Amino acid sequence: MPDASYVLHVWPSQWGLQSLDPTCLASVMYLQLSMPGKFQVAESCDPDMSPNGHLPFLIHGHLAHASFPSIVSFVTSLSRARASGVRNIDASLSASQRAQSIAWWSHVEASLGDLVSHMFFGVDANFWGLTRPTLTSLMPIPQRYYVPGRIRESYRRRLETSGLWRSPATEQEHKSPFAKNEKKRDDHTSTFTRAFEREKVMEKARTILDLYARLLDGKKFLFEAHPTSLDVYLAAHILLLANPPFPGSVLQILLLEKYTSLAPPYELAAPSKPSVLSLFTFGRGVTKEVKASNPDDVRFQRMRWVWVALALGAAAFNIVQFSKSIVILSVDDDDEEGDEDEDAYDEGVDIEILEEDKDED
Amino acid sequence: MASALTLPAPLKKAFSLFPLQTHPPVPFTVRFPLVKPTLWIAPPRTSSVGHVSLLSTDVECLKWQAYIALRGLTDIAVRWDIPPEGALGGRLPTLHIPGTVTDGNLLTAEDIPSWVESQSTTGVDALDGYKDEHAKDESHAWVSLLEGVVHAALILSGSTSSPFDIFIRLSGNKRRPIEAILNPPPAPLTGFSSLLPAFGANVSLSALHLQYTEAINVVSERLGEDTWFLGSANPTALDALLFAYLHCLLHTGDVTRLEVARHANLVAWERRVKTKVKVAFRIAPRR
Repeated sequence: MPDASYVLHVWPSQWGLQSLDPTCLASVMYLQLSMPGKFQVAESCDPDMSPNGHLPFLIHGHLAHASFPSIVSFVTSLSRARASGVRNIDASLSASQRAQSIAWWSHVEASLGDLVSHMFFGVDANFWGLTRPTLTSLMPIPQRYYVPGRIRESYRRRLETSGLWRSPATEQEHKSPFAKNEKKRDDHTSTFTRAFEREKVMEKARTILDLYARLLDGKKFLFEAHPTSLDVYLAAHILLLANPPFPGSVLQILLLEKYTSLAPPYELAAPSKPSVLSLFTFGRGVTKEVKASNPDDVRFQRMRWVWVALALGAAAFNIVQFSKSIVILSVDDDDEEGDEDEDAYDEGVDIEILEEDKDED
Repeated sequence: MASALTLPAPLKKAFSLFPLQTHPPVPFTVRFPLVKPTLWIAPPRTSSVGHVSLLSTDVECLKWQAYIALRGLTDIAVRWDIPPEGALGGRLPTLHIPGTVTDGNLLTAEDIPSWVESQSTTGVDALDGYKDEHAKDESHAWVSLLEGVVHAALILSGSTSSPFDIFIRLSGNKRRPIEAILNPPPAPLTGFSSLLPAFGANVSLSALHLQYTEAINVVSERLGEDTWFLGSANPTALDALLFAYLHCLLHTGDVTRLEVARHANLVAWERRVKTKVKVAFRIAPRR
């Protein structure tokens, strides 16, 4: 049985990271830790290819696993077969540690996930200044105009519920050249509301980051001496908060300045140590392959082109023959039965119908 | 300035004819006179036996009921004839307490903890009843697990005791639709790149059920044989939340209920806490 390859489809790499989405980045890192060299990464801009409408998704033969938890459970089940050479990086956790890890996992997904989507989609300056141009440059022509807006719209409900939608993170405002005088009076109240909103978001971010700083507590990884899936997930979110060059970067500055315990273990690790970020510097074992080089597929493509060529040739031939048999009827109604076509049967039928019509007239 | 403009006399005479008829004020009686603190909740479940349980079918209301009861307060009245639109802030539960104002004060759900603090005799606890700082941090993680995957599974579990419950559940969900519970938010059913306008939510029920099963397993694992979750000495807000979810899950459809019923420690814990919670409430006396 041929060994089907594992292909992981993710959003393309940006800003020195393997992907621009936290779950995609986490799945790349997770696969690199559990099955290095055995999988391929395909960069894709079309989330509709996935069974649940979101990237990442992992394809193995005919099976497709979408969403990070399904990928983790699939890899865990693979690791149980000893011949597959796949490691389960969560195997050394005790039962209670595993329980805590799953609870923290959902907290990372909810709170840090909200902060990341707030930075990418909630803040207007960031969306129009960074996210949308990046997505537009990656997508093909018709999608680039409406898909980023749709993706942003899908996050709106969630961010509105958690109060992280459209908070102004910068001092920049829309200055209209005509409204100079009225702005002076309204400026004070709008400045206060903007500062208040910003402070609410910062307070929320501070509580969440404090929680993780206390949890990490100076250790290198959260549970053991080697990274687990929770470390990978947390690192993916923090990297996506710290690395991209956001125009409205108040939260990023807060993270990098105040929470240095969170940032360096996941950013400045030397490649020789087995820490999480050494995966990125060299990308060993991760091959990027966009087209499948399967001989069956190549044969299929060749046959398809042959069929297209034959179809076009036959169509051209038919048109040429048909045009020869087209008869221009002149007004004086003579017998124009020349040019009986003996090539194609259907054209012969057409000529007969023409003649019948003439007879009926 | 007022003296410069006066009403002309004929107009004044015409206006003095109105109002044409004044009816005497209609006396109305308050349906539920306020004697003790009353909690407005979503209607509880009526069993076929005819015995009315006082525990609400809505997770939010039940959570606050459990919180009030587990903090040791007793003799709280409940009423369920008020729809969510009539409650303060547009959603239930609301607490109506007899206070300095003649009609009493109305409190939203967020203000209930401070009221409970004012009623209780114990001092302010910095750890909120948890064992230590670490347990308090961990409680945030458990709250997000319960309010994420478990809540989504509860909403999508799909079976109700009567068709009317479906309407109640759907109308009560305007505050937190499925797009707001799951993260990352579900993609539209029509897909991101299609020409059709975005519609629906592409939620994979099988994947969600797998996550839900795992969540219930770890909750059971973490509870173990403890009296209260996370090993606290006294009940905390997390216990109230957990009780609310377990109680509602045990009354849903087969598949979600089975996952919880499979763990004996969860069922026993829920039963024990239910007896404690029921004791604290009475039906509000009608006039």
